[in-house]
Amino acid sequence: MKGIVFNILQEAVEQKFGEDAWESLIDASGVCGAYTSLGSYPDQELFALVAAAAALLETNEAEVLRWFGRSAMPMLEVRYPELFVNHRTSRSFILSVNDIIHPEVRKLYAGASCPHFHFDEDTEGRLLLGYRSPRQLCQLAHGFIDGALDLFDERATIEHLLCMHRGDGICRMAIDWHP
Amino acid sequence: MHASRRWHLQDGHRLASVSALHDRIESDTDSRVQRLERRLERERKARIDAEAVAEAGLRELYISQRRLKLLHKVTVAANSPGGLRQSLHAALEEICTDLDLACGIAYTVTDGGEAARAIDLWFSAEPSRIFDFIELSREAEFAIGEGLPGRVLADGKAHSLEDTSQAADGEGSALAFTAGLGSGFAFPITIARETVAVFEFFCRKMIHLDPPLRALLEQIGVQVGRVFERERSRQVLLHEARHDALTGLPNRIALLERIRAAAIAGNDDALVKIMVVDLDGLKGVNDLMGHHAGDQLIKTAARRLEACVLGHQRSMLNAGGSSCVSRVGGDEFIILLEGREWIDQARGLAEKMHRALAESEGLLPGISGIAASIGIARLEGTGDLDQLVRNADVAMYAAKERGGSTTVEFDESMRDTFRFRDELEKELREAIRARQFLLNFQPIVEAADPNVIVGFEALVRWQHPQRGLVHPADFIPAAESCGLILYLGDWVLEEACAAIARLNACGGRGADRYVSVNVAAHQFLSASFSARVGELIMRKGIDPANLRLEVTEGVAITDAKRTREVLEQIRAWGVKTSLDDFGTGYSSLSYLQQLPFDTLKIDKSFVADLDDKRSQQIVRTIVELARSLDLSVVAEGVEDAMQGELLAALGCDYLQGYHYGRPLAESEAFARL
Repeated sequence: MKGIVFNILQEAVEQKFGEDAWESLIDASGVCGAYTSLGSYPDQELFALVAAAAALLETNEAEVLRWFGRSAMPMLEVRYPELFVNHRTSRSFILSVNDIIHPEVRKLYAGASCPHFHFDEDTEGRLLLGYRSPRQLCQLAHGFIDGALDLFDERATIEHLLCMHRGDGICRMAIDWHP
Repeated sequence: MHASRRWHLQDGHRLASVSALHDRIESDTDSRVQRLERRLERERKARIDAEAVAEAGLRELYISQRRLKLLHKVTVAANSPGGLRQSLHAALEEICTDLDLACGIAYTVTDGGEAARAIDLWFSAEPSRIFDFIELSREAEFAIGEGLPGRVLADGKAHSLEDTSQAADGEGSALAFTAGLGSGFAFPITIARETVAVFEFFCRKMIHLDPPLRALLEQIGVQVGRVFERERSRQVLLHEARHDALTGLPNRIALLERIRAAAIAGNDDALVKIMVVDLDGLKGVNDLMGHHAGDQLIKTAARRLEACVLGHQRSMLNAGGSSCVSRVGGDEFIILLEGREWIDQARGLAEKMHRALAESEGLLPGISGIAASIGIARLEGTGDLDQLVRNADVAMYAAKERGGSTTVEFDESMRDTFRFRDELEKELREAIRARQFLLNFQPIVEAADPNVIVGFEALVRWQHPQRGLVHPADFIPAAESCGLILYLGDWVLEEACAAIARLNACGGRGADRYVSVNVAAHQFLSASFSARVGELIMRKGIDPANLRLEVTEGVAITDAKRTREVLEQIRAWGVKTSLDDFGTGYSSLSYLQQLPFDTLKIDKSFVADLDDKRSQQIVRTIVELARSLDLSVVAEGVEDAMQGELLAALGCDYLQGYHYGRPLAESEAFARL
């Protein structure tokens, strides 16, 4: 997992719950805690941090991931304004996500695995977002979408049509923008 | 507590200092923590800044590497073997795949850069998904300024459509939007900054043409442009291989292909005719006025022939069949006529061509018109193309033999002529070997006193073992066309010199009479000719002044420079020279002035027409011309005394013709002295 994910998570946690909260999470989850955006760290560390947060907040991991994704978006905008500046809608931004993620992952590790989002539309014009990854972080993706909607001041209904957590081969979300 | 207070009380001073110390320690700890926090914050900021710098650099590097890789792939695709379409398709595919685009469409530039037209060449990773859009796009056309391709055409730069729902391009964009293709961009494919094609792409995501992407597209445009450049070169080579460079007309190769195709296309009855158009006297123009003038003449002739065919096409009610004007040789054009409508009008077309070629307008000064001999032949049954061309050639030669500026349609009797000429050639070879030729001599008399014979013209005759005496007109053309004229001409020259020796040896009047010998162009212009003349004079021991060599205007116009050299050389030895058949060919003052002749021989056609005032005028003009150039004039073909008297009155110096004596055997002729 890219170090930036841990950095943003830290930022989100500290902003919402204070600096000590992050330290508590590190202590509670037993992760190394030293992350640089240039590094890559075991996926397990993220899962451990999320699990610890869920326990501390007395909620489930999906909830934590969605909260994290949604909170991360404005922070990412601060760090990487160039990724946002050319988009006028969240739809446009979401469709460019492969172009954002792939270079970010592969610029450091040419062969690194990175999620590929597949886009399509259904007959009702909903954007279908297909996702398949052993990390099964569809809830984080959901959170990112929520965050993007916030940024562009839009609303949409997100439905998980298929989900690996429910035993499906892939995750597929339908995004239905409200007019 | 009490003790403590006491301790406090007992040692108030000490207590105060402990308290101060405690306060200090406490405040020290606070500031220390604050300082550490500040340091941590600085460190964190430094880390984030360092990361940002490193990430930006790495991302830039990654993107530029990706783009280089794409450029490389496109270059490989562009240079892949296979045709233009294959290379373009490969390039579209690479770009779509690499940049994750939904589809790419290629347009070529048409109407001289005024429009971009799709050429049914596209790539899409999901064609069925955007079927309607591709269906609409693959044959779309955009005028300059319209749509993405039109905007690219207008300024030669890449353009993007950031949101197809907002675009005002009409159907295409609306359809793109419905197909879920949110944005698009197009960029020019260039050869040296000239836009030769446009690539257009659509995608679901938004594409922003930032400067690095623009630079990449420009480079891709140049690389893909090489495909077009290669194709252009190939087309040029193909065109050059099949077209005549001077006139741009199809050449012999292309023509034969067309005839072949026409012959195959025709069912049982191939409706194909060809017209061989041979320009008369082109060599003369080349020699007198230079090759540039000759080329100009050919180009003009080509344009006129084309215009005739086009004009004819326009006048046709039923425009079935086809025609094709080609240049197959130096001064030879072939016009292919295919289909009933065309072949029926070959004759009429030929007449139009003669008239069009004869026009003087637009020709270089000194050229009054273009004359051509036209031969027409029709493709027979099974379609032997070589035979077809040969037949048309035979007809064309027949037209030339009739004096040019005329048309002859091939018929079977000509095939006999052709066959006859073949046999004739064999017989001529045998005749040279067997010495079946002999010379006759026709007297040339003084105009002032026709009883005075000043010389004789040596005329060759062929004593054919079966056919008897054959006239030169019946075998000289054949001898010329097969090259035997060199042998025959040399024999004539040698025989004539021997005759001069005998004539002069007789003494008396024969001592200073001359013999005039016709020299063929080939013979005259051969490298050894003047040396041969010198050798014969020495060997036969004759007075060079008694040898007179006659050449036709044809010699002069074949190679004016060489003619001049030979004339000067032989005249330096004292040999006299005559220009034969004057008035029939290119009677150009310029070469007459440049070439050293002693005598002009007025063609017998003017003498035959002496009743006509105009012919008299021509004779008078020729005589005046000869006077001014200090040449003597001989009139040929004088048939009666009246003609002779008239010619004498017009100023001719000498006369020749049946009236003064037929060509006779040597002994008889010389005995007349």
